[in-house]
Amino acid sequence: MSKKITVKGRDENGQRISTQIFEDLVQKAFTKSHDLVLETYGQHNVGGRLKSGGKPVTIEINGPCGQRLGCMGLPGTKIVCNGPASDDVGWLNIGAEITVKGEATNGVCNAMAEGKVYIGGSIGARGLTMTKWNPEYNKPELWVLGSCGDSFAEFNCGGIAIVCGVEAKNPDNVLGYRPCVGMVGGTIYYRGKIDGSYSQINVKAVLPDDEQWQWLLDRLPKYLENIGRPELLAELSQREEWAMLDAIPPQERALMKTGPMSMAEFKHKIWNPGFGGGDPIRDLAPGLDRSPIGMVESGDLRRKKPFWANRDKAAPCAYYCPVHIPTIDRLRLMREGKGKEAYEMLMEYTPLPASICGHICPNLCMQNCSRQMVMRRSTSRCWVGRPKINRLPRLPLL
Amino acid sequence: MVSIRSIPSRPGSLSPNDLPWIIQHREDRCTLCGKCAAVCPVNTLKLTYMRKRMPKIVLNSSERGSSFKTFVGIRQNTDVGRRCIGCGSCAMVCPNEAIGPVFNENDRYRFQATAGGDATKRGGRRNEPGGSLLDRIIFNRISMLTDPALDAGRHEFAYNTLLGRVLPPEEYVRRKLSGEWIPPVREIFPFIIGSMSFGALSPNMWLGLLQGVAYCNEVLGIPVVMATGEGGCPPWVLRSPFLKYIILQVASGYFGWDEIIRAIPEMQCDPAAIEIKYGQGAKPGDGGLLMWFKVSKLIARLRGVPEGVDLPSPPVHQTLYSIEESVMKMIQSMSMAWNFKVPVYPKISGSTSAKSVLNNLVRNPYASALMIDGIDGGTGAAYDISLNATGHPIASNVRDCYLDLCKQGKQNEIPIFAAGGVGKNGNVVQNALALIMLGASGVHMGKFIMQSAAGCLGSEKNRCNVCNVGICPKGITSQNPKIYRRLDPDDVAHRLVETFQAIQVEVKKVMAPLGRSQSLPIGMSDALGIADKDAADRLNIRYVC
Repeated sequence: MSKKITVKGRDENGQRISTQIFEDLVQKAFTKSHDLVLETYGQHNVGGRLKSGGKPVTIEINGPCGQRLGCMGLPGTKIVCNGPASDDVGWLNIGAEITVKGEATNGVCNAMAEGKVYIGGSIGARGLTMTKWNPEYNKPELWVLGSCGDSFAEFNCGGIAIVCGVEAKNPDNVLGYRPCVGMVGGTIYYRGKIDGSYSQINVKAVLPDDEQWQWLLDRLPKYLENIGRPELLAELSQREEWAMLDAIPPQERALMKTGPMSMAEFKHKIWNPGFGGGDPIRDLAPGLDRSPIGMVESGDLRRKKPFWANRDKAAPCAYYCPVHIPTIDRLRLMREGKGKEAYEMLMEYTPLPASICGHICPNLCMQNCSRQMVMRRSTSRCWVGRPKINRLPRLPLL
Repeated sequence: MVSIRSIPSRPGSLSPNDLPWIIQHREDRCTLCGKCAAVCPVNTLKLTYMRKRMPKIVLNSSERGSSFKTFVGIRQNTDVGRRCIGCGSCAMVCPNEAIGPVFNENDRYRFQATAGGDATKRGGRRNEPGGSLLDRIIFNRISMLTDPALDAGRHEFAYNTLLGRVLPPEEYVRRKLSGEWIPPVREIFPFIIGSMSFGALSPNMWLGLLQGVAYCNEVLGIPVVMATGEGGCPPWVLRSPFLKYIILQVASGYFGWDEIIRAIPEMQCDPAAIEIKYGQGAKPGDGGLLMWFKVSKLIARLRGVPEGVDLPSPPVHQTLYSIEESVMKMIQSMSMAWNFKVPVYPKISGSTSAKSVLNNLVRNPYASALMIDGIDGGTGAAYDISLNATGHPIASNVRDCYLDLCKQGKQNEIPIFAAGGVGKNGNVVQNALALIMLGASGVHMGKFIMQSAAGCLGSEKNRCNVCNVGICPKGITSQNPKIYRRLDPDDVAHRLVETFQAIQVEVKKVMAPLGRSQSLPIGMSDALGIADKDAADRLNIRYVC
């Protein structure tokens, strides 16, 4: 099994063989050896779907590489491409370690869920987009020696990128135009200049903390070894040269929804100064108060005032009573035999009903009772000079 | 006891069941706090004592009888002038969800609303509930694999529009080289706040809108502009840096123009444009009317009129006698007022004669645009008949005008703005983009903005619609500080900003699948479809089903 097998991408006439037939040859060779050399000639989707049952698989790519190198790569697969690579390196990779010693074009690591991609140069647009991270597996990693093209890390969910800015294709903006749109997880280490066009609602600029810096330092030597540039270790180990873009967690993002400036701040800084620092209609209506009020207000702001029609509508006994005793209720309680309740109700209106007040009362309730005419006998006083009321007074029936 | 004479049986008598809105009051939940009666804008609610009978039945006995109980309840006034308008303010203030109006399909009020011999007047828009034609137009030319689809969330879009005369390229170059005058053009957001005057709107509403507009421009970079309506502009506003977000209106009443002319030498910036109002979609052939209830001291001062008088703007400008004269005299004079640096355009009501106006404008070197206001437009005060049955729907009117421009090869030179029912059922972006793809360069929206930014309660079921009498429960169209102070201008500004942010999102959500990102799809009618063969034929768009 350990013998190295070479699979050629061209037939005996030097003609390119199709991706489908090449894949067939690779899968056949793989049954004999897990150590393959592929002399590709633009074949696509090379290096994926090699199921070894956990045993290490080594694929070396020589020759022009097609698109989607290492796509659907499985854990245990180690791919080394000695030259540059085309689009979508590591597309849907779920564990392969892919090294490209040259540069790679667009879409590197698109939808990758696990594994590592080491690029020895710069990459094109839309690298590290739509990555996934299942917490049961490791986060996917993308290492780039140079710079990234535009729209980097869009919708990145968990991928970690390390962009070293060495011999960058775009040294003025190593993360390209508008990176991290829709990025909800993961983190980006970068070294070099960026243009600040990253999506500010998705990521924030931070500096690596000790733990994050240690994480980087631990892995740098292996990366540089893989791409064959170990001499860069010292240059890349200057902590002050590195910065990060870190995904904003949803809790923090929810707080950012209020917009770029509060209305109060706008009013204070821009609106009021526009009118010489005062109410814009202060000249038309001096002293006009426009401050907000509620739907139902009292005092000066009250819109409707009730008209008391008690004289016409209330019972005469209650209306003429100087202390507004609800005589009707009082009599009702007495008719119902609730003498104690009637007495307690009375106490709420007059403190001394049976002594001073009772004696000086001119009995306006009786004088004004409208039933005098009907019943002949109106409400009468009840002498309650004794300490205890034994008997309720007899009242006319209604 | 109720006397025989007081039982209502006259022709105009209405029972609560005859009213368009019936108050539903739940005695079991009411705490008698009285807030509903205090807040009711039309005093329809009365707290009254009512009597109810409780039968007394004693088993195994022939003794039967009744006991009577009085309770405090709510009665609904059945006078025509005090009928419930359905605004629901009572429900808003009730602490216990005990009260609220319910729509009544069987109202007889409509036949009695002519008490006093005047026909029904109100605010709002055409009482035609349900989906409009614009709500039925869909966007169906989707970029599917044939061309790259765009992502509304992450791609950058350019969707501003131009207000002003755009010269043909060769003419532009010629004038530029020879140093001649080049007509002013403004780049603005295609959703314009339609003309609502300081007077029709309360100070808190009008200034709240302007504050929100200023925020959109200065903080968010959305170039929203608002039209003032006729009635002038507070002098401090005329001298503020925010004047550049305002389209000033001149109409036949010329209200507020003395203040404007007084302020011209002191202006920090030019206004966005000048709108000459010839007509309004809601009430064509009828002038503006600010009723005396709303002519407060403040409004009287601003408009230069006595306090508490009716302020009608006649339907026609007294000194204009022909279409040529109207177009030439007004546009030239208004252009000259700002040294030919401000776009000037007329606003007309939708009409079968709109094309004649347009053709006059095409030949007028100073005309910047044409604004057409369709029958579904709103107003603060108009007769019911004008609102409901007078005018022209906007869609085919705009379409005819645009296709006419196309025939002349002028469709990129003079923009048409459309209004009248945009966002009537809340679908403001759908309606606006349908009009834009039919040929409009942008839309004006007034009622929608009142509903969205200030919580206007009006509806096409004739809910509320009392803007004309100054008792707006929300304080939007009132000049009484005890009412309009209910409206916090900061809240209006905040909601306006949210509205425009959401509009921006929706515009992108339509443009992205059409594969358009670099310009507003004006006249892109191949993207439109409607499941109505007649409408499709009339509008020259695709019939889909």
